[in-house]
Amino acid sequence: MVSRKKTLGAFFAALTVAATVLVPLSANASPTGDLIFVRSQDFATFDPDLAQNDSLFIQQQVFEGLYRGTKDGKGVEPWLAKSHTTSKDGLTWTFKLRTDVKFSNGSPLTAADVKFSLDRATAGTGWGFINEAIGSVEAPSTDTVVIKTKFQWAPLLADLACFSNSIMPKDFGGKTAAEFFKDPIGTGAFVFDKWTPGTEIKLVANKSYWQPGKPYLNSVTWKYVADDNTREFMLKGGQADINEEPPATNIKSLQAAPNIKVGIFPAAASNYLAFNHKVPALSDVNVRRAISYAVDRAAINKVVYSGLGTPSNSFLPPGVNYYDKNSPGVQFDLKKAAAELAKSKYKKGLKLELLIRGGDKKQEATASILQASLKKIGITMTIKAQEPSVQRVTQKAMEYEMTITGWTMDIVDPDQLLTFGLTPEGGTSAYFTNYNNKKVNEAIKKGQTNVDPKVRAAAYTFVQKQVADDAFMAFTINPPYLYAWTNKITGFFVNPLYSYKMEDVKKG
Amino acid sequence: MLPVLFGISIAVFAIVHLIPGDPADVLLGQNATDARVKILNKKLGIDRPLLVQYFAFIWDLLHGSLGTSFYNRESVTSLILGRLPETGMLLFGGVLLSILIALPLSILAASKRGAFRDQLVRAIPIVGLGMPQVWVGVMLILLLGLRFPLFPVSGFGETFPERIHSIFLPSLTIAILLSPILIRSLRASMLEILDSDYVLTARAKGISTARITRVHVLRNAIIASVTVLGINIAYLVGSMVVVERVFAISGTGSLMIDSIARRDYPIVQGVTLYFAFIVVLVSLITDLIHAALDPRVVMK
Repeated sequence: MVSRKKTLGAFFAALTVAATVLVPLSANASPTGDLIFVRSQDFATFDPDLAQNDSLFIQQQVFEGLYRGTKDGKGVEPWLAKSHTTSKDGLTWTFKLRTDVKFSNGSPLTAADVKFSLDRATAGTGWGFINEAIGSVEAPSTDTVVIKTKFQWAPLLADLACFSNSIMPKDFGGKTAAEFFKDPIGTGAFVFDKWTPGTEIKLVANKSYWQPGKPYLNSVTWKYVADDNTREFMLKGGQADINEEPPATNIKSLQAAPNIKVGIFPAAASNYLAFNHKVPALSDVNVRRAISYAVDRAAINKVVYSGLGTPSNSFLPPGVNYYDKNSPGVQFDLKKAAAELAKSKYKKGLKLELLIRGGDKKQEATASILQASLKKIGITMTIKAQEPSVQRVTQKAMEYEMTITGWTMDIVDPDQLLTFGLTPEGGTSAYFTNYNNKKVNEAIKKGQTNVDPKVRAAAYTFVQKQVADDAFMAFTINPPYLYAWTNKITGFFVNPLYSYKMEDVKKG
Repeated sequence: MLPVLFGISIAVFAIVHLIPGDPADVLLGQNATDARVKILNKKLGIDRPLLVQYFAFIWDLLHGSLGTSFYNRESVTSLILGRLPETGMLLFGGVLLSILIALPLSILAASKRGAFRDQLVRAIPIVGLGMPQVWVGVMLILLLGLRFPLFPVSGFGETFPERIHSIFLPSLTIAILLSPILIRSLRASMLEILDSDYVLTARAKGISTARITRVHVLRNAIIASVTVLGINIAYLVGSMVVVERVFAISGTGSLMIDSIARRDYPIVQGVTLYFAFIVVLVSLITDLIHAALDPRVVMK
């Protein structure tokens, strides 16, 4: 019996090897496996202009862009575009398209489709601002696209890799926008199958996908499961294959489970403690520095993120281009905190209020740690919790003193965050802090309009150091992206922009 | 019924718009600047005066439409109707299991007041009502979903047998919390009836205990409990969200909670009206059953 088993085993092993060798050779060998993805967010729309985190990662399986972010998140690679050239004045960008790409309805990708898609993206009221530098898009031939920018604009390729610039058929293939986004057509590895709002959305393999042999999976279904425990039970009970965002505090027990794998992916995301500079005490740079020194980043990381995050040293998250790991930032040091406070008008201490989101355990824990260390330097901090949507309104109306906030990068270039978060042009009074430093604004402008990477690096290094010195916010933790999946799944990878490609994933 | 629903429509409209928070801001996320919020608010039509919005809402309602969700641009009516099978089966399963648990236990308890079995059954409501729904649900999943994998840990299934299978644990969770209320009411009314003169007369006539319980005691005791059940079903419709969340069943309760967090006004309005309708309907049905069981009650 044993020997028979062995023979059979060897036979199947040989078969598996043969299969793995054969699959990449035969174009689009029939995909197998139905993957179930559980997540705490409910899919809302296929329209990239309206997309938020709830929808955009699913959209990206159906739509693709001219460029896309690299695995390390620091750059972009040509995707539906093959190559590009730039004119001497840096204002005209000419792109050559791949000629082997078809939409899932069988029609070939042409420059006219690209022009339509980019023009629509630029006109978009949701994410159109990403394309603010684009002056015009032209399609002189079926595989050539020419983009003219209004001024020299370094982040253009990163912008084109943003999900908002997804490529769709010209004029939505003759449908209205509403009809099209109910049954979208893209060039991606998966095709829309069915959607039950509030429950699940299912995509099936695009049989005519342009990358030979991909996707490997027959279908992917994203299920909306709000409860953290339930998602974990589903994974353990074999009802789900991948769990998005298991709580950090559960990671150890998941790592110990025999049939579960845990992915801790570096993220281009940051958490901050925001100061309202309109508050007299917080307009004092010494007070802000004192508080920033008093943030016990290691303790927060340990308690809130089970030690899986990293203490921040910069406004920019690691994993984004031009992040300076040598930027001094401000680190936990109660002596320096006390010394800074002594330099301020508030030597005898002061009272401040921290606004947090009610029911958010991470923010609650962070708040108590901060409260304890601030007490040691003579700052009495009270905590005020508001329902999440209300908290945002209070923050935006700048009716807070301090609050906990964060950012996840949408493009690989730092420009989006820096413009939005630091300059008056961002339209948010520097992320609702009222910070405004002319030197910083000038450096950001320089980085934006200069295509020389050295000049940009110098500008952005200066910005990172200056905003830390100004303690415009306290940079706290860079949390990782956490995922757990069963050991049947291979090839799952999340890049720092939170983006994953299901076309590389196998089950079985 | 209509005036009640009309009153509720005004109340819910006012309350929804009183909640601080901004739908456009929620939709736009971290990139929401004032300018973008304004544009989206205009698109959603929530920059108009409240009175105009209310009349638009009523106008649509009179034309059979509850509007469109801000969040996923689906019709509110179809979103609610899409969740009815889940909510309906869960409610039905929960009530059915509650009755199946409560009925024998109450008869057992009432058959001999003060006996050990009575004390035991009387302890159940105290324990049952003291346990939070979330905990009961999680324990059932751990025990019957993972330790002894007899039932799926979550979801709703595709085919009818699958649905029965997957709805069992959540229904049991509801039953564990609902049956104590029923047991308490049934036991109390049965005891009261057992002491009544007509039961004494029946006993004197030599009618068997089983027959007395079935014909005289139970039938009369159920009348009171039907009202208790009716009130609790109406209450359950809104509070089922916890069970729905734990078992990842997307019923109307979770639709409501999600929509409040998203400030999805049309859905909040729609679901509230629907809840109100169900409550009114359930009390109507309760009255009808009451009338059917009790010949003294006459429907006019």
